[in-house]
Amino acid sequence: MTVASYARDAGGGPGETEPRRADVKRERRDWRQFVGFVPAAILFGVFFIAPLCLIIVYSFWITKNYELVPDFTIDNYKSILMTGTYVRTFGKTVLMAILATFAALALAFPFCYWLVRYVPKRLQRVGLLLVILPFWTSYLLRVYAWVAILGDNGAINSMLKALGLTDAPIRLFLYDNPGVFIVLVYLYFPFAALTLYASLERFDWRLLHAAVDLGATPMRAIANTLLPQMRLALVTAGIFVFIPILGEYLAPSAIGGTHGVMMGNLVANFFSGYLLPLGSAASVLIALVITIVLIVFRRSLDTKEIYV
Amino acid sequence: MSDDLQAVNPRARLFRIILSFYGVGIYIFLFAPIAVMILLSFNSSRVVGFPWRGSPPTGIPGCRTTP
Repeated sequence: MTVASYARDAGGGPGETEPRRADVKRERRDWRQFVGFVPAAILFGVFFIAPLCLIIVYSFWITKNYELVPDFTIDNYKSILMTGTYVRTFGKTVLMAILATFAALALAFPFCYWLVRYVPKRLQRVGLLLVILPFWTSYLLRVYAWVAILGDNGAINSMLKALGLTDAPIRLFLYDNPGVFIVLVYLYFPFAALTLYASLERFDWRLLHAAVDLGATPMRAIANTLLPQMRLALVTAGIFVFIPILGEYLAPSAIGGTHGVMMGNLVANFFSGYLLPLGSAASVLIALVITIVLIVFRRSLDTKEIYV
Repeated sequence: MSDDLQAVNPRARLFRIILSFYGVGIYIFLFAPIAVMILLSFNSSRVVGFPWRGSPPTGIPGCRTTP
């Protein structure tokens, strides 16, 4: 059946007969058309839906003598939401994720702008490759490398001592929140940069030219023509960066020490102490924040209203 | 396009230079940890950090082979 004939049949032309329409409807409902989705559905179900359901179920159970007991209770959520330390850690995690996301976007945007506009086309791919090149090294190595930079004997303190600016090591960054912030921005900068680059590369720069021709300053031209079209990419990049930071474990643990604890560390502590219901409840709360963020930003992902 | 803008606004040239320095700075930010780790892998000190105690004669400390 050709596309044209199918369309004619489906559209119900003047010579259409009832049995033929029924055939088309039957053909549309044919289960075989969904066969292609089966591998994805299995993958999604086994590796996402099933673990998520398990965590949600666990979060309502209790542990007795290091054994899970299927006894429905909301005490795990109460325990997390009523304990000051947990609430503060949760709030700090969300705040840290927001700040690091904004910082990553703020650093990535001018960088991508420079890469797209001022770097010759043939070198742009190389420039982009250099951004993702650190990804080729171990995540663990990249995090611990910052200990060698921010630590007491690290590069920064050694440099300050060598320049005679300080006698004792400055403990401003390592084992505290600023260090975690720097490392998180470092780790997730490429996510933001790649997303923004993909969008900037497709931007029609004549719009910017036209705005400047009409009397706008370069900054105003960027704000009024470029940024509205970048909204989708900015939101997507923000989501890409924000979500993994919420569950970050290693960077707060290695760089932040006891001051830099985030929700990921709490979850790990709960699980290592076999407090599965508490850990599950904390995980569900993180997932809830992510869901809320996605719902809030869903409207921003609507491409129909770019200049609204 | 960028040349046109520079003709319209002379500050565009300065903007471009600043952005170029910024771009290089970002690459330094991205590669500094890896460079430091490579450098320190040749340091014979027992702690991960400075001061530099020189490269051991047998190469990378963790990769020494015992006779």
